[in-house]
Amino acid sequence: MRQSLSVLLGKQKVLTSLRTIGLALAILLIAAIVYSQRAAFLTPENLLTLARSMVALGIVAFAQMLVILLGEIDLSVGAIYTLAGTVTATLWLGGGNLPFTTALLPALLAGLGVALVAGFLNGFLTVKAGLPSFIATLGVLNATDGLSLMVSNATTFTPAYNEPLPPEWELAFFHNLGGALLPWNIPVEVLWLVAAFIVFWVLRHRTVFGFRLVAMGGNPEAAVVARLPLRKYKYAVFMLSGLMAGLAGILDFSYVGSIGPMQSSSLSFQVIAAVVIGGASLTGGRGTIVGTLLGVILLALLNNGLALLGVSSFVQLLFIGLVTIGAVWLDLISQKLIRSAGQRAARLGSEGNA
Amino acid sequence: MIQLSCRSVAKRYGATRALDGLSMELRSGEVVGIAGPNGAGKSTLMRVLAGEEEADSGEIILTTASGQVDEVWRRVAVVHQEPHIWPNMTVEQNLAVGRESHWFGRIGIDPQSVEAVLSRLGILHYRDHELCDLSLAVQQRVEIARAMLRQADVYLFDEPNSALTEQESQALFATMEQLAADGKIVLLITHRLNDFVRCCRRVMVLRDGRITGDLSSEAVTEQAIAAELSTQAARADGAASSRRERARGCHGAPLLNLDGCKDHAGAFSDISLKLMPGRVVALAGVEGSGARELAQAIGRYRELSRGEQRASTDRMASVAYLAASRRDTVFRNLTVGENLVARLGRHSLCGRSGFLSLRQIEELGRRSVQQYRVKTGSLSSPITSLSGGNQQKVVLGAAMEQGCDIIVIEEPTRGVDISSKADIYALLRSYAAEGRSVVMFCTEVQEIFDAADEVVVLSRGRIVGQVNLSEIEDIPALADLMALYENFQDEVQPAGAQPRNGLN
Repeated sequence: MRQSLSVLLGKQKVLTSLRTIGLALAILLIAAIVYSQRAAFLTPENLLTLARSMVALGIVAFAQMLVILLGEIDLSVGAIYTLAGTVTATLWLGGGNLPFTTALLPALLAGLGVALVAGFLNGFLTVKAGLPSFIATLGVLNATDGLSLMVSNATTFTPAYNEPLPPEWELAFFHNLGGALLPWNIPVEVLWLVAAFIVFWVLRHRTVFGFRLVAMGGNPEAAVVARLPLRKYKYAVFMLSGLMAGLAGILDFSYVGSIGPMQSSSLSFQVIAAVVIGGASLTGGRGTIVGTLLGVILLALLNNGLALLGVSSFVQLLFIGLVTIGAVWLDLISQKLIRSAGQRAARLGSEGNA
Repeated sequence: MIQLSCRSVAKRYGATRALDGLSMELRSGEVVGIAGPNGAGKSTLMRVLAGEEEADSGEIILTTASGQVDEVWRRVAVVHQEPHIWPNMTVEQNLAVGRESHWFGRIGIDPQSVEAVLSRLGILHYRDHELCDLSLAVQQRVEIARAMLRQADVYLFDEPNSALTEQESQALFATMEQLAADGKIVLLITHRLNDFVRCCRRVMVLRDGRITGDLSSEAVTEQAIAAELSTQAARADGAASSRRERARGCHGAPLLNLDGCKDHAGAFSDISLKLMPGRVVALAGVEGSGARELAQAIGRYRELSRGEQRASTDRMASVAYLAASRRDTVFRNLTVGENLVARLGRHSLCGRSGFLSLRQIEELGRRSVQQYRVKTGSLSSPITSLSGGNQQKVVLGAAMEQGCDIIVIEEPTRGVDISSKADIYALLRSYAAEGRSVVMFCTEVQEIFDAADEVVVLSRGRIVGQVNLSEIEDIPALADLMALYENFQDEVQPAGAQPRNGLN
């Protein structure tokens, strides 16, 4: 019995699912605590608010997880998030520092385009120039924030009350992107989160792309020897990360209905916290999409729960910091236990087979 | 029949000619050894064959049954000293990397071929285990499996068994012979002359970028290879025999007293051992026997969960520990001089003022270079410019400068050439002679014979035998005795009938 249990424990799949289950239990525990204090937690309205608050964080975090899987990091996502929305708004509505305006569709494409370019720049600086991605993306974070302010001239854009008012169909289309409500009051944005989850799950777990990311992150040197296209993949994940940040920015713009100047590094750090809470290793080679989703849920749940409990927002921030540290610490400990279980299983396996 | 010919292959790095018109002909069916002193061009040859670097001139031609092969490197597989594998993935996933059968869906490769290859190499039961949980020997097998799946024709083994135990080495050699018997070309590069004798029928000697000797069948002996290798390299034997004369007795109180110790992760248990001053103790055992872990525990690099480490004297004995891989012991960003003093503290490095005294550090380095027989251009050369053997002497010197009562060293001569080996053994012995104790975890019988006063054999986490080396005549006798102890527990036996020999 002990033999078969430990053979089972040696399997990678069993070990990783143990960790995911642990995280899921933590989420249930927090939810139960919040519910016991505030019954309003489980009302459909609150659950929808909760789901909505996960959208941007989730979409960006899935792509960030791929970057971290490669052993790199992308700090610039928060700024790209703002830039994409700002560029779209300025081109479409006018009023910023740009000399011309366009229709909605070109403006949307331009917003996603600059996000993609920023991602490409991250890739270029990391791969071609050889900067550590921490520094490269930190630089792009600041530069992009500056660019957003330059483009928008720190204007706040509100499509519905803009002067001149955009055509009716453009306003409707834009609202339908993320802000419109489906039956049962579900915001369209939530569908994007579901779609992103499915797409990224397939990308990570069911394509050669995801498979090789794991390999390259686990041992880049061996990947080079095996002639895997490491540089191309780095470009790809940075561009994907930029694109997703841009998409999230535009969707949130659509949902909120306005966009103004903001300092946006906080999104970057929340995203990284979610990915790390979700069990990804900053040294690369470990991380799952389900884990990342759970990390996102945990963070969103904490924000929501603390607000329901009437905790002041200053204390919330303090609390979230502590939880992030605690979660990663717990993860380290469980990782250690898992490794020693795995090694023990391997040893027993070799004896059983000798 | 496969044939690999190199014709006047040359490769320069700046002013050094790493390969200087090297020519050789290899045929499949036999394991061919390539011997050569450090810097002879072995690793360059390997990199060129594997396509990691391109030769400046000359040609490399591979002819198989179906004719000449275009891109030779595609058919060449290297099995590295430190396996190039993915520690975060399972065995099966490791095999699939770079050879995925389809782009979407569950990623993997043809399960039947995976099963065939893994069971041939005897590691099928590890299929779903993560690589970082497995021993180095298994990791190496995974690298071999990758090469086999790729249907490579040429297998280069680069110091493959430098970190393997005796038993694992034997299994590896058997695999290499199988590959050769399957009609592959198998090349072995190693520092251990004994390995050539054990598994090669032909040995080529590489010096200064050229093949200077070609021994085959009967002519392959340790003496013959050593003669080819050494113009001035001292043989290690002299040092070994001189030790025999000084059969040291152990006097004084033990420096460390282990009493019923148990590892926190269960690698060993019930260990009782006394470390006497003035002696070099070797811990031996296959991977997983607990010998390596015991060495780490004595070096306080690993926690004990139960039992005591007691000092017989008033104070706890101080310990210095050196890991097996130089990756974990050398500070690659520092110079030779800085590495030599890297383990020292304020008392040795600072003058009266309490700030670093460069003069004092320089003096210390200069003395250490001499004392520890380091061959270096200057104290300010980067440590990476030194050969493996000299790096090891620097690391050892740095630890010895600490002046601890006990030095624990794992695999003292991993990847080290012959002449440095003799130096290192001499250093270890003289350190012990000052009334301190040296503990080494060894994988080679030769090394135990050359350097140790006493060997403690572990199997399945327990001490199964202790041998006092002054009672041993020659290496085969020692090897037989150790094998006897290691296998002893496999047979059914009444408790308490463990063989014990020698001290304590």
